[in-house]
Amino acid sequence: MIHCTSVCRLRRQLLENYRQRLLLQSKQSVLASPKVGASTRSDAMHSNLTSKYLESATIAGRSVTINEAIAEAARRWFCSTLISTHRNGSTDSFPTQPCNRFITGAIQTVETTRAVVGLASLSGAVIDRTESESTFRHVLAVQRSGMSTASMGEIRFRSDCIFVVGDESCLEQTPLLIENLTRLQQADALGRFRAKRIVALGRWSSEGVKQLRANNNEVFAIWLEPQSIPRMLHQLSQISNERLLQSKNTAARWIAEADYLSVVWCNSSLGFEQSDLWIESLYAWIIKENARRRVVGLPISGSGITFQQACTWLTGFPGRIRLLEGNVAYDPELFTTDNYLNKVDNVFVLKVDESLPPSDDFGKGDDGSKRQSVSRNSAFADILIAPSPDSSLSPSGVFIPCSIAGFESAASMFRADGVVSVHVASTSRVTLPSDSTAEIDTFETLRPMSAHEAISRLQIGVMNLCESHDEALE
Amino acid sequence: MITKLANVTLCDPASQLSVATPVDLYLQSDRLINKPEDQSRVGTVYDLTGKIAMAGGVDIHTHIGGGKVNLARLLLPERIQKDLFHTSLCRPLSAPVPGTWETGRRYLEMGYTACFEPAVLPCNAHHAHMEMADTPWLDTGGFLLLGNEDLLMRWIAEGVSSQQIRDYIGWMINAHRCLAVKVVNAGGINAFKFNQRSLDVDEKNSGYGVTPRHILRTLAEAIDALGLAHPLHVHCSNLGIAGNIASTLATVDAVEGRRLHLTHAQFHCYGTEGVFGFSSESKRLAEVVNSRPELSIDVGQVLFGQTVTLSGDLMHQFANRNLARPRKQIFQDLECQAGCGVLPFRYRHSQYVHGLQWAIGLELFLLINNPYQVFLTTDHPNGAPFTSYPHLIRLLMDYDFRMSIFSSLHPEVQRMSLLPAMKREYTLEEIAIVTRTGPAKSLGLKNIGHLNAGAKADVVIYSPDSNPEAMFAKPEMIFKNGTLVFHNGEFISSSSKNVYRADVEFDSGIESKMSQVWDTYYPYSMALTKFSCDSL
Repeated sequence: MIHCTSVCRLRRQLLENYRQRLLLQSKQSVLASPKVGASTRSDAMHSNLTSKYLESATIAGRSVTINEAIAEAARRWFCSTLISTHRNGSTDSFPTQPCNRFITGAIQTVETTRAVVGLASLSGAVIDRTESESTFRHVLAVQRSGMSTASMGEIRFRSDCIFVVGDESCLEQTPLLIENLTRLQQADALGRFRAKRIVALGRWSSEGVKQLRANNNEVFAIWLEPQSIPRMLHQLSQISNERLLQSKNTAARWIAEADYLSVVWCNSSLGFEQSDLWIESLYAWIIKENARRRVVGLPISGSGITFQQACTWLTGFPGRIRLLEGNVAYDPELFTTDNYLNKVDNVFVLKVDESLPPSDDFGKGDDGSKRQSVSRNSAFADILIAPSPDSSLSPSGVFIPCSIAGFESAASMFRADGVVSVHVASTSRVTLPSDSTAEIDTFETLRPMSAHEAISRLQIGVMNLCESHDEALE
Repeated sequence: MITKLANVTLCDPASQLSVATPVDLYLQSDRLINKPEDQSRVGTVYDLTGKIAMAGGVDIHTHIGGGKVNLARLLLPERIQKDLFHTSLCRPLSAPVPGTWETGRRYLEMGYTACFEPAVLPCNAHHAHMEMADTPWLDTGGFLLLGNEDLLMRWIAEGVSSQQIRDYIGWMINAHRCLAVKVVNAGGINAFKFNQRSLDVDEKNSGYGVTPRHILRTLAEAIDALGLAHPLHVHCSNLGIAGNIASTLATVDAVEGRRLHLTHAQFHCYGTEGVFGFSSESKRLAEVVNSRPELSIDVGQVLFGQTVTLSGDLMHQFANRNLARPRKQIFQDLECQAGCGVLPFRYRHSQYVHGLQWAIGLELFLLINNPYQVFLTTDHPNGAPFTSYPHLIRLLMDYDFRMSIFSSLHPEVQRMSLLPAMKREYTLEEIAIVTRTGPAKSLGLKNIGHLNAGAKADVVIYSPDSNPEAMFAKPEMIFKNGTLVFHNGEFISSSSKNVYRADVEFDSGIESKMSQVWDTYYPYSMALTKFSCDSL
């Protein structure tokens, strides 16, 4: 274990690093020139969100300056109790945690993930991103037996048949999915062009099937409960390819004929019990098929993929972690939003939300409805860092406004397949109603800081308090 | 203010100072300087009598950032839940591929200050750089993975001019902020996407009709024309397959006398002799390297224990899927550019092939005469985690220690290997070459890997020890950018980091040619490809 003096020294060093980083960031924000042109989406965003720039920080509903809010948030974070108790008073079902600070929310960027992990490393906290349930069902399956996947670009260029399983939620979550996967007709190296074939298996409406038909895709839809898909795949795998090729069933024939078959699904659509086993059996089938031809999977993970990636490289784990005194503990069953909002009392919650639109719920439950866990206490966030206050903010809580990542502030994000990452410059600076300098100045003045900047400032506040505390002890 | 390291014995093969008698080193800001005329400017003085100074270590080939590294972390959540701040040395990593924080700490405490990720995918370059930016203390750089992307394959098949290929590679290196170019199983990853299961050097990729020989020649030619310091960094065809020495030598021939670096060469010099049909061909490869100064290798030494193999060579990783321990694996086809395979793996003393791989790596080290042509790597984490470097150094410096482990290997390994006859023991100076001076020189980084005036003030102070493993596992002091960051087992300060990248010249007209075909392969904007290192 590191010595106390080393902790103090490291804290001072971290503090200095953060101060320098913030200084650098503020310089960069002045110097940065927008690299991405104005988009209609961000034009619309601007008109919708201008009013939000006027949101002020609050403490217990009272308007305060940003500095006051951050100072108060740091004080509350520092003072939050280190011992939690069970909601039901029992230690059997849920072990007592030495740390009850809990960080959650729709964290969307690498920068905010870094800041959140930095804050938790400094003072101890559990981190679980909201809407991570479906992501973790996939993670658990991968950690047990692995996976075989391809990126969107690979599928778009190479795949001759796409097997979409589950339901239409993949289209809801990634509206450009079909566009991204099928916009080009396959142009293989030999110059052959073929329209893509799409087999849709699961709960598909006629509207959903219509969307799949974009770009002249041939579509064959089979209505099936998602739970039954592994059984069907198992049956498929038992039939020889020769027999499948002669089958009168179009879907079976297309699947058998494919040279490069892609199986696409949305993790959040697998809202039934033990769906991780479903994913595992699907991957097992894909890897087995690869022994004779190319088959790949494409799990759509949604916006949580950026947090998952950055958290993995920073801590070694994809989330659901507890950072305490230099240790990282990972428990995908224990360190969950559900547990921390429903089973632990006296949890001090920091919610960070930089999403578009701002999220005020905790995702969807297994039946697709809004997750009920927030019903424990709809106002649970002791500190909320978000573009605008929402119903999750406790009446006595601290609200710190922040910008929307990727629109109002530059951000590093991953594409839904987790392969391509880009640094997205702020688009809002070029989406003003006019190009007048005066308006740009006004806008710049009112533009709130990014979530990661807010957390970094919060961390500096906490470090200052730690230093004062250490000095008092010495 | 100037820091003086007084009375220290240099172990610096590139030194212009005396290495026979102790000298004084002067550090000002982040540089080493000559003895200042005005001694009153000297502030802190460290008396290092009896200590040895080396430049900061340089790892030319270690997987520390990017998609496949993160996939390996995801796949292997099992680990020792001990604290990261524990300071006893020679301990294993908490996982075969730990988080960036632990990676940075563990490298630094061995005296390494610069590490290079050898497989940066274009689509993933931003990710790789962000990850390396989060690896504390280490200066980093990346080698761009080319030679399997559909765009280049198509252009080679169409016979576009060498000028166009050169400009394309120049643009890609600049846009993705890389230092060198690596090719993995030239054309083979691409061929696997067309369901080809093997691809020899003169075999045609079924999609494009292009051979690996053609790709290798094209890339090596372009790299020479661009003036990149580091030669084409090649992961040869037929990784890990018995008899692959033929394709390795064919790879050397393919570049027609141009410079070439063969990476993790240990995995590419196997014969087919012996009762198991698997034998060492280290002698043949060493003979070729010894006769051709334009060649260099890094070894990719295997050491025993649990690790994870991660490679862009999806074709061969898939073929080896049943060797995974524990039995799980990740395979990915990536954005018409490359692929990756991640397999957990356990190297065992008692296993014939693993034992022979261990011996072959050491044979290469000992058979190659010029230490500037061979670099110390384990291809972290593929052969072993980087934390085993001190152990590997002892194997090279201590014949008896080497033989004590050799005697525990499979009897057939003991019968087949040339190792007992190799009495060579590396000197301290040779260790400095294979861990610092050689890699830095090969990468064209003139300011690191040595302790001359003007060099970056990355200095490692060792206490001499009869056990080289103990010595190299426990540097006494480490100065990074002129600042004392590590002393007596304690991290006492952070340090700024550098990103090494090549800035090459090319005809910018290539952008319009690329943009005509970019959209065919990549559903992300070409404009988003570029990023600044400052943004990391």
